[in-house]
Amino acid sequence: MEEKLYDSHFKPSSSRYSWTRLTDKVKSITQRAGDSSTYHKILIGVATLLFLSLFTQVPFLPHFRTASPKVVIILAANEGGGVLKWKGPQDWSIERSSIANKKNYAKQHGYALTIKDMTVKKRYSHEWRESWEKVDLMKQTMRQFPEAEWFWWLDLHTFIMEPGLSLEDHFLNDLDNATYRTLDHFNPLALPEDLPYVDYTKQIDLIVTQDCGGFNLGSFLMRRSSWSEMLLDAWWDPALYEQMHMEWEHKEQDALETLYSTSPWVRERTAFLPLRKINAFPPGACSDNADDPQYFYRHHDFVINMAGCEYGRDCWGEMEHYKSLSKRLTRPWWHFW
Amino acid sequence: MLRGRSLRPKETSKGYLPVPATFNNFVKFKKSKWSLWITTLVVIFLWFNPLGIPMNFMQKKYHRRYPAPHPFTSPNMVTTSSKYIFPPVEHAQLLQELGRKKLVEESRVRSADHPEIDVSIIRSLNKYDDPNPSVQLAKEKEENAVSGLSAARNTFKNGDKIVYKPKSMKNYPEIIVVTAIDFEKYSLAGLTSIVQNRIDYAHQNNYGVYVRWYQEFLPRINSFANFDNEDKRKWIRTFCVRAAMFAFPHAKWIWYLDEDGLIMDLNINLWDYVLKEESLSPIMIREQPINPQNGIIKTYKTSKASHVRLIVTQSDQKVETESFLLKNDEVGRSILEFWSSDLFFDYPNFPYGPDSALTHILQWHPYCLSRSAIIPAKTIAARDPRAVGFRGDHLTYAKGDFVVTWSGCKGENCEKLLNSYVNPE
Repeated sequence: MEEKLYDSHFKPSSSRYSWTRLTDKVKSITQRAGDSSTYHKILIGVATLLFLSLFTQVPFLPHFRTASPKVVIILAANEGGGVLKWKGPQDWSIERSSIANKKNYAKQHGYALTIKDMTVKKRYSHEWRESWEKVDLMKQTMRQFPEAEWFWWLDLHTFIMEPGLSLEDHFLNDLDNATYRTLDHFNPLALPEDLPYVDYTKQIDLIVTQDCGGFNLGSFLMRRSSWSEMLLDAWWDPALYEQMHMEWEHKEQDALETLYSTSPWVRERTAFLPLRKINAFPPGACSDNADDPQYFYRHHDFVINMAGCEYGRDCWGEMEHYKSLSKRLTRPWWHFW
Repeated sequence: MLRGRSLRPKETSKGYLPVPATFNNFVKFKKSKWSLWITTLVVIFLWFNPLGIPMNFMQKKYHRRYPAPHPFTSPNMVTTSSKYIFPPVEHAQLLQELGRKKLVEESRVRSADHPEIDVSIIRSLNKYDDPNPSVQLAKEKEENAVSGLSAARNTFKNGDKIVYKPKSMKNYPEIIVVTAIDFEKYSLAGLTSIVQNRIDYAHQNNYGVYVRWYQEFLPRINSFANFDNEDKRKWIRTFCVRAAMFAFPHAKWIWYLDEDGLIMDLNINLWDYVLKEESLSPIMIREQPINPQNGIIKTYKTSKASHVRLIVTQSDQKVETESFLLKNDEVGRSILEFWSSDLFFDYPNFPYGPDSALTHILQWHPYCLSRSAIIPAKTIAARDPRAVGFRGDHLTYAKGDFVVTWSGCKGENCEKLLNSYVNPE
């Protein structure tokens, strides 16, 4: 009889019912702990933490990410592995700073970081083939991160000066405008500018920079594709190497330059970034062109590459200098102490 | 009426009619803190997208302009709507009269690496073209009217520029039969029957044809001595295929068949016979040494037919390239361009030219190997035993086979072998 008293419209819907039951339960728990306002406080607290966790990069809080990383940073560490030269405390310090820097950066932007050991290996020892380890490590990393799209190679003597800047914002989201693909403006090697059959409308799969001496592979990016698989396979060829290894002073760098200057298929998917965009130099590098500002670090450039510091310059000194500079430059405005 | 008006209460804002039922909703809305809501929304929007929209307007959105792809010897192209691209064979006599030296330009320059040495380079006459194609066309028209020789020369140098551009993409040929022909090797009758054979076959199956003179690739080979070297000359196969890929950018497969060969069964559809996955998978020779005599590297046991970009055959000696198939896609193109790089061309340890280079590539580059297939020679390259004297029935041509080749023939013998198939007794 009582059922009939109510029109069906006035019956509480079952879903709403279960929701109120749930909140009631929570309320009863909190009420047992204290008064009813505690419930609101906890709710606000949880919501704030969730917001900070999902949408910000605040430290000391777990940040959940559902997607697997799209960018993998490959850091070449332990070069030589102390075989050819005793590894002193300064070398260890450089390695620590460099790794910590990339680790922080990768964590902040949800990238993956893999540190590759570049110790001297017997299989690369014949005719100075050490540099080709880079190609093998790149292939290996592509296998290890099957979901990732971009692979960013960084030498040990690099430092990310602006860790707040993501690669997407820096150039990956606007690749066509950020890069240049022909050599008519900047061609330090005087490579042939024109090559038949080259179609520059193809997607960009390799991003390198040019310094005063040509291509610089201290910091470069490669996209996973059938093209890059082919390039990594073709990069080292014994018949080419046999003919050219006396001229290819910079090994894999020169091999890539040769491929770029002669093969339309390599040229069409390679793009250049201005050096300072991902690979700025300290004053000691490219010293013959010391008056050309396009190579050298200026405040708020993204990455510094202390290229060639192991040849007569003080790697550790430079690393410490740029480390403290980065700390100073990226200090937030409210951090006035 | 007058009475009604006087009864109306004066100076009052309240109506005497009942307020509509929905009116209170509006009043509720007015009373609610809607301005607060909008502010919150704007704040949230700016929080997630700080200055996103105004920045987009301010940002300069320009796309860099890059030069368009162009053929090997010229920045310009000539389009044709015919899917049979071949040089006028009747010019063979005139071209022979002109001779190679007048068809291309040989000049001596200082070597870039060794300034004390002079090197001769061969360039196409296209370099004298007027940059404006229509001016050049008018100029050539004038020259062609004057003498047959200059007409032959102009057509010869323009061969590189021809690109297929159909009126509609509906009937775009899927397979292109590519052949390079040499007017110094075969007579006019021989050349005619070679080209006619390709066109007959293409017409029957709705394919395209791309035929070029061997001599047109002199600027690519860059030396008359190399052109006369039997093994160096084979490189023209790869150069010709590259040009065909450019002329037919949307074709699916390229079939290179050398001039020393004829298609014997015009009714065989190449797609069904070899190329489609169900046909290719059973005939791919797996775990076959690349170098048939003493090879350690073998084709993969598990390679998939759908991945294959390059299909070649083998004799009992080596990999053969007088008849091969190449997929006209990114990977196929990169394999071909890598194969025909100058450093392989110049490498002295490749005795058989492109055959040795390909053997080398397949043995050293697993990616290329996994995208290549070796199929029985009988399928696309059955050999005439009279040319080089191959042994083994699995290689030699028998009546009913799809293709016959007599690659490796010498001098007069080539024309004789051709005639034995064109006019069988």
